[in-house]
Amino acid sequence: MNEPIIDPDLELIRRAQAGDRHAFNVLVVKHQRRVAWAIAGIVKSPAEVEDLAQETFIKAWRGILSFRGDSRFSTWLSRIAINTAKNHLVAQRSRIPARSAMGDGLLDEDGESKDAEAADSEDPERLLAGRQIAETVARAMGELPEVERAALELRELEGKSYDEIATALDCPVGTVRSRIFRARERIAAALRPQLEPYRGRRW
Amino acid sequence: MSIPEDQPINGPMSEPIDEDVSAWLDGECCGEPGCSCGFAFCESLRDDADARNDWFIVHTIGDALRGRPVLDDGFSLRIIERVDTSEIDPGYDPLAES
Repeated sequence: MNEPIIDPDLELIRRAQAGDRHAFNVLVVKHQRRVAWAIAGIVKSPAEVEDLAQETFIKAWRGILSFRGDSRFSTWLSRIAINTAKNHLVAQRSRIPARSAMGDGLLDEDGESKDAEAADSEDPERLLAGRQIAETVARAMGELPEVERAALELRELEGKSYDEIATALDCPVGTVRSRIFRARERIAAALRPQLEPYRGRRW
Repeated sequence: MSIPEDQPINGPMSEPIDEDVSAWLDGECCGEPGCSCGFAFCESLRDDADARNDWFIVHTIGDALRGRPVLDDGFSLRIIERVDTSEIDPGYDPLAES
């Protein structure tokens, strides 16, 4: 017999199903990156990823009552995201006759839209900002106390749970929590001046 | 050279992002199914620019370490603004349409 699914989002889902928009907004804030990266695996243009992420969450909100907890909410959301992205590609291909589009250089040999995506994802300003941010994070990471760096690496790069990190580093879970938090605070302090020009309505 | 673990941090994160919120972001809060650990923090995102700034920075750190492009400013906010224009449809199943 299958183990019952314990979904950490259960209370938020219940509230959202009762019409609580704020509870659903919390789910958006929590899961938007997972949704975006699922879509980005199928569609390359950042603008299209954002449009499809919005479409995914609108579908999830409209259809929230159809979620019955047969899987985790995050899994349900990812399925909607992937279907939405695939349907988008199919619709895109049907709008552009492949033969003429390939002749115009719009589609590659696999039928993927090429030039528009490349133009979007290779914005020089975006690339430069991303590279500078990555350099700052790498430098700040290198300056962290060894125990904090190890904890953050195990979390962010290897996706380990706090329990697994505690075992690997031979320390209590509470220590893992505080080391990861302090590591983030130190890197944030290094990043903050660099991101100040972009400060505004963001979250 | 790395800094000592007990050295104070210059420029702490905004008040709403504390150790508990950091753990919540990792899905490692109280361990209770159906908890509401992130509610107060998410509430603060609506009105607190410092909290939004730090939310963005914390995720930027993770994205940069994983070599992923940094998401554009206002990504979540634009999603929420669009969701706000739609309503729950009792007969709609998003997985049944494809």
